[in-house]
Amino acid sequence: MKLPAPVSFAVGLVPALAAGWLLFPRLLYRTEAQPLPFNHKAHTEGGMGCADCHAVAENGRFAGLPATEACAGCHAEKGDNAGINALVASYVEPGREVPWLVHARQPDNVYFPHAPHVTGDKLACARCHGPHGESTATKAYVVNRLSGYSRDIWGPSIARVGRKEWQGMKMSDCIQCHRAGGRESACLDCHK
Amino acid sequence: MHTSKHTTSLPAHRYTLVVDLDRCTGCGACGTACAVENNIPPAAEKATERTGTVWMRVHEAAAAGDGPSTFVPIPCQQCDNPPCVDVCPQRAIEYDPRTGIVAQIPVRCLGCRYCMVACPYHTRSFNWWTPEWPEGMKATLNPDVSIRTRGVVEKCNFCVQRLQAARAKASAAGQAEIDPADYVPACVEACPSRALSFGDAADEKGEVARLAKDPESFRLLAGLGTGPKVLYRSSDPAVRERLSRTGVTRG
Amino acid sequence: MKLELSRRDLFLAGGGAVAGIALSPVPWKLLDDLSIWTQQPPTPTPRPAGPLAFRFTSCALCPASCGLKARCFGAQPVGFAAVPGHPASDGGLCPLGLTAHHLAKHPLRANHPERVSGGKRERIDRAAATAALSAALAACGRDPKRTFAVVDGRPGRSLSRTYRALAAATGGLYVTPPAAGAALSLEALAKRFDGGALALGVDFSKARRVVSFGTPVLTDAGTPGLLARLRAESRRRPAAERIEVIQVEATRGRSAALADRYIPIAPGTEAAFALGLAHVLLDEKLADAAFLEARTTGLADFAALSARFAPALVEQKTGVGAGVVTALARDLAANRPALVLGGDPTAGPLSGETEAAIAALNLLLGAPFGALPVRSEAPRETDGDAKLAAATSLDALPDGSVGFLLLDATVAEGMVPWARLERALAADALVVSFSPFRAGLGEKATLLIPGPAPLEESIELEGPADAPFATLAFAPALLSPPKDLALPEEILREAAEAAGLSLPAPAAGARSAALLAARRGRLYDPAAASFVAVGDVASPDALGELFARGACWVDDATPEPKGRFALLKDGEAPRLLETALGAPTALPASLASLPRVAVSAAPPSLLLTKLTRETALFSAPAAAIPTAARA
Repeated sequence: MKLPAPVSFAVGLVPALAAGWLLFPRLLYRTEAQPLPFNHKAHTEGGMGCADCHAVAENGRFAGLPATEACAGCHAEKGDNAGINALVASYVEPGREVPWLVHARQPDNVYFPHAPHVTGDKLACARCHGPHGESTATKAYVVNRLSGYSRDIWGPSIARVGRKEWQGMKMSDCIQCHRAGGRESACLDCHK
Repeated sequence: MHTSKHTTSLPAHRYTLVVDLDRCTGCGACGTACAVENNIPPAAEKATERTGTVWMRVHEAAAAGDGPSTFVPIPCQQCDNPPCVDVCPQRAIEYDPRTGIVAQIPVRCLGCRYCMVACPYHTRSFNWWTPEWPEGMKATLNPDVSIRTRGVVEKCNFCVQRLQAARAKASAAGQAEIDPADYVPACVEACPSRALSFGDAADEKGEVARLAKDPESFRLLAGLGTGPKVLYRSSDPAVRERLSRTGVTRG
Repeated sequence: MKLELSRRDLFLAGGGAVAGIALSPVPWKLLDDLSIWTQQPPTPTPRPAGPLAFRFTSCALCPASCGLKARCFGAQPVGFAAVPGHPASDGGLCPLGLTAHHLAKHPLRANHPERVSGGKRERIDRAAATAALSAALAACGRDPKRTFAVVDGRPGRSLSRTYRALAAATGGLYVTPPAAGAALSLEALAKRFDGGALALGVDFSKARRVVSFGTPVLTDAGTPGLLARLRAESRRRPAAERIEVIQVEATRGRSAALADRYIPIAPGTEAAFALGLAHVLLDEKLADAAFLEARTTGLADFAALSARFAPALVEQKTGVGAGVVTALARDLAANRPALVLGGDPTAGPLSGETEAAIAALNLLLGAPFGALPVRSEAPRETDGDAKLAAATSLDALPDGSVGFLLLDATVAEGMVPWARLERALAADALVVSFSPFRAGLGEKATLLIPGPAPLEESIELEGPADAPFATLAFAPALLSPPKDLALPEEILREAAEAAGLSLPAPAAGARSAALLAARRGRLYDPAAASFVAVGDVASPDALGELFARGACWVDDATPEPKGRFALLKDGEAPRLLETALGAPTALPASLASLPRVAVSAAPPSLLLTKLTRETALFSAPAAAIPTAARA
């Protein structure tokens, strides 16, 4: 019996689609463990805001992640929390910085100033970072094996469909917002 | 004054470098400060004057006989009508219509070097070698400037990272415009004889706008119509005449 | 039922696979990720090592002691800017200073004591280095033919005090390098003064003509860019207020190329030229008669000597046209204040006789106390009861006499030629260097005990001897030295103790105390860009705070002393005549192709290869720059 042509075609098509949509993303990304567990919610529930740890300095520079010194302000001594104990033992006491894996890290040639967005345009942190402040555990850091950047830059959906507005931090996402606000501008506004 | 074909009108800011040739001693501080600020690597082993990566090069324009030489620092002239922009197949060079800065985007560059041919001032450098620093020196690199790779063209961007920082500072303070004191390129800060000054020529009351109208000011190869935003000054009419007509030939 | 598979099915399946892949994210995502991958820089841009801050210090690489405004991320400086209004440098910086932060991690940096024998370097530990030092110190005390000598490039520091104490305890010598360049001309002039010890500086802002016999006044001497700036500013003033520079030199260096007038002269005939100018000044009665009358002695003798140097003879000796000599003399007389300097710090000094002729010319032009103002020294602590050796010159070192030579990290090869030091060494002498680099004199040591690199130690820097007033720039450390680095002061004291020598206790803070006690001058606070009078500084702690902010002390004007200058010293005339009538000499070899490298004890940053290899301005790369960027 001869196979009908569509069946033969499908014999190639279906595994390829499966491989492309299901297997490929698994191969492309790998998961790395964060150095410490971190509970954002426990901190914000205590009355802290984003800017208490991730502040824009007076000179317009964004401090990024807080230095160990800032953590040590509250967590100088061990307690009954394993995460805090690990922080104190591995970083506070030896005076080392925590090598956090940053989901929002952009390529070298990108210049992203927080000040015009956060202070100038009053954008909420969650507009780009999502409900990160409500997380109770560190999110797995999923990294692209080729580009070396977090999956958060592309967004959770490999097809980039059904994204929420804070999912995805590619240049096209920046441009989309800038264009909508009539703020399209020069290359060197956002590149260095 | 030249009207650029890249914009319908002249930009709102026209950042301009003024070079007083009476003051320049050819000490090389400007180019050194530039290399420190912009993460330009030490010379590769085989690098020469023609193949090195230098954004701010000082040339000696010797007078006839034993007459005094003029030392002429030549960075990218930041033309209002830049010849390099039109020839780039990658659109890796862009004239910023708000600042007048001719921006080079090295990651877009494919290294064809058409722009280097098009530039009448020879101010562009091609990276013939992978940039390398001794291990200990890497910590001294400027975090505000990304490092370029081998095979691309680069040039002076008027230390645009300092403009970015000044804008961020203004934003943080809730101001729309930057404080001019916050945006000074590294070469200007370094010059020991204060031969270099910098400012916004669009500010009619500013010093640069005044100097632009001064009869002692001129532009290199003025006849080409490129409209440089690097303004040269000399009290010697012969120097003005010669440099505005022929520029400084390389090597 | 048998399934018949044909090539057609294979092709169809293949087509399906291709279509499937095309309809999957694979091609598009790969294209996107690969393009980002190609943009990865070969060296990742460093992340900021902390928040941005500006810190102030001073550059210790050459005597100019320029103010530095360091742009730091956390503890890491990433660049420098000049400090406008800084009393020592007035906003000048040179390529060496701009790259000072590279030096601590220079490929030639040494971090551990090393013994060098037969060209091989052997790392030794601190105890072994101390033992070698103490054995050599003990031996020097016993054997009068093997003396201890220490060369200090920056006298007046607390380490200098330890050196002097060691020299006194071992019966050795404490050697300071001779004045160089313009400072030597000023010293020669001051030595002719009979009204007590005198120090003169140079105030270019008060001069209208500057004659330079080979001193790179417009480029590498003194404060970077100062004279070039003053001259350019004067060009936009009325003609009568303009500053002009006349460079008299055998080779057309950068200063000569920049001078208003460059007068090429046969090398070694500067004395004849100076006497020729003196002749015209006296012959045509153009000299400053009032100054000569009130402030000099020996005019008649000098006039008799200079009378022999008619322009025609000068032309024959120097190769400079007689008309040029006459015109220059008239121009100097008509445009006083004029001053004359001589000697290139990077190419060796002029002869004493030439300096005598230059001094006389300055007197004829009435330069002292005007364009050459009198200045004082920065206050120093007194020696007190401590037994400290006085500073001596290199001439005090007889050939083959030194059994233990100690070279401080501040001694540059351009200050003290190695050939001269080598001559003084006894057989099997121990040569110890505290240089943090395997370069310059550090490379000549048989025992290298590296000390802190530039920016790694807090020190006080006296300004150059040719500045118009004394300055004392505080240079707080910006970088921390490597953890196990042996500090020269500590290791010397340990060695001295082991050798049974007793040294006076270190005089910590003595300099600050002396400064406060003198109640002279003002302190410039670079962060606030303002001055505070020393009298208004309440306490040593307040001074220490200013110190940590990189402040710079600047002296008040010094009153003019009473006394006269000798135009000719006793017995000087025949030697001067002999030199001036002598034949031209060979061209002096310049030590360095890069500005100031010869007077800096540190090797230049690798980044300065941009100047030596990638521009045509500076000649062949300085020997101290390694050829490869790789460490």
